[in-house]
Amino acid sequence: MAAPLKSVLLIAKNANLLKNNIALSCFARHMTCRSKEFQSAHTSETLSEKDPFPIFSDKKVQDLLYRITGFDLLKAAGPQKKPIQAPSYKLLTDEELQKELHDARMKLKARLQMPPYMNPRKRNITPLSIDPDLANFDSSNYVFVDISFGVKDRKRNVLIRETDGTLRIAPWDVKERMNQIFNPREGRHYIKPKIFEEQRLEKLIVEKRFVYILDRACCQFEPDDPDFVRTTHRVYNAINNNQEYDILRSTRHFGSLAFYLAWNHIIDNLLLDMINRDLLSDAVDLINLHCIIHQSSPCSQAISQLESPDKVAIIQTYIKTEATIKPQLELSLQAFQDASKNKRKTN
Amino acid sequence: MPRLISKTFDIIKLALHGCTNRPFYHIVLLTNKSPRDAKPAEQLGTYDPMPNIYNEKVVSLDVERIKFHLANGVAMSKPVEKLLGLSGLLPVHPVSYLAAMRNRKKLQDKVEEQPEDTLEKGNSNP
Amino acid sequence: MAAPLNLMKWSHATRIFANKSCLALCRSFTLTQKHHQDESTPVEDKGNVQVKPKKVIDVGTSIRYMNSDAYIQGYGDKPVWFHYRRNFKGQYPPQTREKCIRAGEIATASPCPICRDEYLVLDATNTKLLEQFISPYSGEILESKKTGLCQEKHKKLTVEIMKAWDEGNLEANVPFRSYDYEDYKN
Repeated sequence: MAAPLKSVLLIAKNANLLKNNIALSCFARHMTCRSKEFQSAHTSETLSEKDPFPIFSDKKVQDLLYRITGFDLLKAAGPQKKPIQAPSYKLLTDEELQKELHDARMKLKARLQMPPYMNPRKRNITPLSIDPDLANFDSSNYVFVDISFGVKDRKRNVLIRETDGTLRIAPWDVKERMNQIFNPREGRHYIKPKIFEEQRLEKLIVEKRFVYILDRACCQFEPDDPDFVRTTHRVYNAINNNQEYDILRSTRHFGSLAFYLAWNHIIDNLLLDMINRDLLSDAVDLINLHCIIHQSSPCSQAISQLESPDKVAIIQTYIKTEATIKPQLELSLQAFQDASKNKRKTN
Repeated sequence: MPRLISKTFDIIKLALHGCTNRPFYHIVLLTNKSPRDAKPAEQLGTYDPMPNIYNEKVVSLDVERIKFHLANGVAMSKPVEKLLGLSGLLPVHPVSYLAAMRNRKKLQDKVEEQPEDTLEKGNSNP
Repeated sequence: MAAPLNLMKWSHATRIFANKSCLALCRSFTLTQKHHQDESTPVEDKGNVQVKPKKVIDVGTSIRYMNSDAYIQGYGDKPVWFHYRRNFKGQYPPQTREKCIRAGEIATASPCPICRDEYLVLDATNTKLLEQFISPYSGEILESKKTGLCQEKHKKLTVEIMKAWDEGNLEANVPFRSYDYEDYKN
């Protein structure tokens, strides 16, 4: 709070208008309203709504999610539609070739960056300055955007002076529109595309164009936008209901999908899918994720008490404690164990 | 005898761009003697006087640079003073309060006229 | 000078014939109403000129046409603009004409691929037609110099494709959005 106050006083010293008392009283009001807004921000966050992002962005969880996502080179580096370029040919030594391949792998890995998993944001309602004397000064609202250099979109100050004279921090949709005007980004549209309306979204989900919807949502919205949360949760639910997890494997969205399922206690179908595909290490990772998120759950306590944390043992403890589709999971685990025994016998 | 006291100073003002029936202003740092559309020393923002589809008039301000210039004692034209007052960077200009008061009075007069008209109409229709 | 002139006229005529041949063999396409009149259809009398009421095709009919045998006979499996040859001198095609249809009538002897076939209606829902004008390699809308569309129809095409991208009928090129997690940590 100290820094803005200093700069305000500096202006106060130099601007001619500040000879009258109106100025000082306005600044006083401004500051008190600011402090009120700060207080309300603290109290609005209730304990029951835990913030998932600190857990999601934790290095351990990120590594886990990257492991589960997989890295199928052919799928990750699939045919991309780019402006047509003539091919370039290079003459390379073996070392240079290895370096080029390594760089290509790194670039593809960067494309697997997961969109942040966040709760939908809350509206900021408290005003900065209530001025009934200024009511009807104009027939439209004034939006003031701070275009100082080096300020990121999320930190940009956007204020709105409404027709009834109140000055407040602009609501998120206004802020995002202003960001698009003054810092345009490719793929983000000024007016929300119709593709995110309920009817059209349902149509796309029925056609199973999951990756396309999710990519467009990432481009258009911020991760804590209610529309982004609605769209992504709808897609994750559809994938979970139809058990089509393979569509998202080796894409950037698999990690967020797994986190969503773990956050909402619905990892069973994904676990079954993993066991059926013989991805036991992935299954164990998923259960560990569940335990990290829900540290006081019976499953995490049971696993912490295990003496020999074997993959099969961990999965079995999860099935015993918290699984909802126990018979199917037990069956598929049994099938895996039998198949591995047979392999050992033949080898 | 040459003039020793120069009467030129820096001023933040609105430079009119846009075209016919579509004004658009750049908030600009110029000297007081320069023409309106001269190449400015610095552009500090924009002001669109025509409301958009959401009934907003968009004003962009390079707050960091405006504060720097104000701290150095730059002058401002009246529209700029009004805009900065409305934005909260400076106190609200008295003329804004006056304009608001006048608009409210106009609206009130309109509202007061209407019931009289309806009363008259009511009387005329049997 | 007569001989080269005749040659040019002949080559010009063959080009028009080439453009018309595919379609003319299958079904007759509408030329200006003043020249061809069908006696069975009712005719409005506007003074001296007898004008036939225009047939405006709606989107549904156009979509059905795209899936019909008549379409396959006329165009096969190639895009609608593939066999259209523009008439111009030299190697590099100049900008296409402004419009083929003026005051509701075809005003040129070699109208563009969309104007010459009234059953090809440009609409955001007619995805089968719109896809033919999008490059399969780059996902960009093909130039009118390549497809031969008149400027009016090219603009309409662009608008309809953008509407289709907006509504989800066609898949647009989505750029990669990278995140800086530090921005979201409060």
